[in-house]
Amino acid sequence: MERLRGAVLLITVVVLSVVTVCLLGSIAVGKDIVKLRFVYLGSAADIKIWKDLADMFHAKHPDIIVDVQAVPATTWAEYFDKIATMIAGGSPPDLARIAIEGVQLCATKGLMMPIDDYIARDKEELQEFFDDVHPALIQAFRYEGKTYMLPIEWNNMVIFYNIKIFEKNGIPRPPRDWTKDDFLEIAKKLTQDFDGDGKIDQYGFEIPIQYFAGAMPWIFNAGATFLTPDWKKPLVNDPNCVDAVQFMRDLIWEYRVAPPAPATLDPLYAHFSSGQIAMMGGGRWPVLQFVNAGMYDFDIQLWPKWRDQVTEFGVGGVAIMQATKNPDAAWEFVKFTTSKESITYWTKLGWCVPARRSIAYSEAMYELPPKHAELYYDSLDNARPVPSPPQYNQVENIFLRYLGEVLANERSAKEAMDLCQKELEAVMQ
Amino acid sequence: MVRKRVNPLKKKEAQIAYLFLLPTLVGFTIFVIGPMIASIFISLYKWDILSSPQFVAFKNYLHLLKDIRLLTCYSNTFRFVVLAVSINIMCALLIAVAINAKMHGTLRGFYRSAVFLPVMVSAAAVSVVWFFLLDTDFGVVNYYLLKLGLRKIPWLTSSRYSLWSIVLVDVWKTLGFNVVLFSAGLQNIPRHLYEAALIDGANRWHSFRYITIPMLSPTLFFAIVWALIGAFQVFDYPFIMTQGGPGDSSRTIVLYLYEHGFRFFSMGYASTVALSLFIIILLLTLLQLKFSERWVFYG
Repeated sequence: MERLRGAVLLITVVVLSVVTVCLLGSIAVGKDIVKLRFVYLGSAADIKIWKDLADMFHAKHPDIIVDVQAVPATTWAEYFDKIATMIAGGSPPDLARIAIEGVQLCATKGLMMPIDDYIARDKEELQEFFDDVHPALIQAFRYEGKTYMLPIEWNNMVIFYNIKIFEKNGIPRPPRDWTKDDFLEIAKKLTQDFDGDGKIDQYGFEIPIQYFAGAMPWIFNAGATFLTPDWKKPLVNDPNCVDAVQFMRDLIWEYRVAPPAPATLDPLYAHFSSGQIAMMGGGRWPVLQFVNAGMYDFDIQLWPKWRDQVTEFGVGGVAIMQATKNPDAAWEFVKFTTSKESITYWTKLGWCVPARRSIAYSEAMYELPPKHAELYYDSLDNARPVPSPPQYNQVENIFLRYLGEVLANERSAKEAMDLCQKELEAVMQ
Repeated sequence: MVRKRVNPLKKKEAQIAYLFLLPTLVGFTIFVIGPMIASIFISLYKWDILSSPQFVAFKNYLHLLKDIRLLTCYSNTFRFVVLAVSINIMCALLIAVAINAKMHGTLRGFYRSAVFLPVMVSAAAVSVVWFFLLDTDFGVVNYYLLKLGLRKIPWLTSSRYSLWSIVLVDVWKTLGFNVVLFSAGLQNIPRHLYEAALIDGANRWHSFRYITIPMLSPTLFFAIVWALIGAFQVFDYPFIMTQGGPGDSSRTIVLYLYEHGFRFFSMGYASTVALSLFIIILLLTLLQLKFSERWVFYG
């Protein structure tokens, strides 16, 4: 009995002190300090970037704390779903990093807050930012007359190539206006069987079964648009689009310059870093992957010209969520993410292409390879955003299913795209 | 009318037992029964998680009956279940019998932990590792196949092999569980039965067929029911290794319902698919219970 009484006393003391601390804490936080929850798609690998940005921001705004939370997901669709679940579950984030793929999806679902009023209010302050950013990037975040985000980072699709493999085979750096035939020629030369055992040891190229990072650059350069320019209707069985899909299939099965297509990008990073493939497509995000794997001997060139030579791009920013109780504080953080200071910080780390022209052409871009980093921003003059309609999550899923069949050589490109068109029409009406 | 008299002590004991069961029951109600009942209701609605649900009565069910891809996914799942469960049980039984043979205790411990090790690793980690092992051109598995003079196999990139690859990984991952189960069962079989059979002139096959199998049948039965339920819910391996592809060739039913619920925001239809799977598993388990009387021997 004596022991029991002691235990009860101890528990009471502990509970009381915890309650007191919490109360004091909430008074301290509740009075002056605003706490914002920020989520982004990513893993523990890039949390440092966001945490550092949050700290830099806090140093400037001691009254706002940004709590950074990584949401691991393999696709944007999955990420948006997790945000939706947080909102439905009653713990909505205040801020979220969102890319173009999610703008219309999130806007139609009412997840994001339009920021036109804030932009109008801080017009003078933001003028310098708008002057520094390519209009194509700003335009990408407008939907039905409203602006939802300010662009901070973006990626386009360029060809990465292994400098050492090119030099060893006496292949010079391809020019900007190289064609898909030049590309194929090089890919054929670089597909090699070193020991003559009938097994290819080095492929020229590799294609993932991916939307942004796999098929779209070929489709755009083949002269197709995938969807109508307003993203309202599908156009995937357009002859040029079928041509592009057929060409990707041929790279694997006809010319045999690429291994069978994997469903994700991970094998490509591994293969390219270890010299098993000589070229691959990507934006600026693979740079970090390669450098982490100890691979520095790579450079980039524009996507080879076919009927057209446009650059496919995707762009991201930080959105204020509709559910936030502190939109003013959230807006301060959004503005901070567009500042030169914050963008320069992560540009040096090799994360994405900066939205600001002044930084995209600055020293910060050249601390890591590729040597020709100016190509990224140069390409924006003839760039087209990745098709991202409100039904993006379904469109991507349907298209990849058919693309996968074609790249596995199990359905003809024409038949697959006809079926895909039908399914997309049903979803997009 | 005779009323059963309850011993007051027994009654008290029962109360205490319920008290101890309470945490599990509460958890089970909140996390299993609750969502199950909720999904029955959700299946009658069109719901995208964010906006308020719209009542659509049996529209989701009508859609279910017309869904051709659902059939493909079910057929994949059935093929997977049959292959995975049968290979799993047979291999596990063989390995368990082999481990149970006369050998040094340390060696037996080593073998047993070696087969059990994959069970403890998370399915996601296993999938990622196998994803690289099964790479067509640069994977370790094909490297050895070529060394042996065989052809390389497009494990994950061809619809002929994608489902088989998932069976392979699943068997590798879950085999150990059944091996441990079976070895425990084998050790419970009294030695004198084998000795008596030996005297009667039985050979090894006879004692396996007429002593081991019947004596092990309760364990076998449990293992099969358990493996079936698990196999019907396979998700991680195709989700990480093939994303259900190429085409729909390795899309299992749980992957399909996940896509509808958590990628396309159609919770209503996803719940309907989930219920259809629930009914199928329930029916199969009932059938097994019924047939078990014929072959399971509770000595």
